[in-house]
Amino acid sequence: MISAGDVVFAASMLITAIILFWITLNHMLRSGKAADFSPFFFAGILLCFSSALSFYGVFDQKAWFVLELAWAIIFLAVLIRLRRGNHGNN
Amino acid sequence: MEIIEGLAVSNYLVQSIVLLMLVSVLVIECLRRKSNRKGLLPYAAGFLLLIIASFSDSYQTFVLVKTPAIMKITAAIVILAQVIFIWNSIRVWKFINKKLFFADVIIGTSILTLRAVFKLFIESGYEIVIILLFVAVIVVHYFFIVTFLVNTSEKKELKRGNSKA
Repeated sequence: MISAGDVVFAASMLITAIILFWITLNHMLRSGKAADFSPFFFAGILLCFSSALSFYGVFDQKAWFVLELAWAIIFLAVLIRLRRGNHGNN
Repeated sequence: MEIIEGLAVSNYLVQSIVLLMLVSVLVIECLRRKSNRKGLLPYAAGFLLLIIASFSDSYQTFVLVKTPAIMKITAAIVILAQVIFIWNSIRVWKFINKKLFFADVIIGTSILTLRAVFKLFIESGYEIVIILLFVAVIVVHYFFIVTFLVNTSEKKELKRGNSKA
């Protein structure tokens, strides 16, 4: 049974993913460096996956652990790029 | 089994959203640019075909109805999209990233063919692996188009002109 809360939750994730994709794409084109913004692109993919899987009860299953692990890897990639500074040119 | 169905649907969702973004960016760039529009619209057309295929697949997975005729048409559409992609890349060979192109041709063609074969002839649980691998094709498409747009941008053209002068 899908509740209204589920729909709102999934829709908000989906809208965030679309905005994230759009901003990332524009930044990639403007700066000309696709690799620097790639973690945000993968974050958008994960948001899409989470939004669709929320209708299939993923939160109670082991697959949720894999999704959370993927988030951790993405945050780590962003952190490493930020630590490098100067958009990874150093 | 539910989670596998969910993975398939989420994969189709990712495909359609990323491809819609790419199509809209390609069309916007085509309208904005005064020169060097070559190759933008055929890519957009190819991606539109892929979006139609992913909508058809997601509908069939979500409603759990498999119609052989629609499956055959979808497989043909996907292969046609790949053919358009390769043909257009050869047309604009000077501006594309060759490594990404070869990665796309090898990964894309093999996964698309496997996907069509699994969908049409083999009823197997391993189909989900092929469906998930399709995300890899979309990622390669995405970075390929980004590098293509950067290489053909007006800023780059100015730089090229200055270096010649």
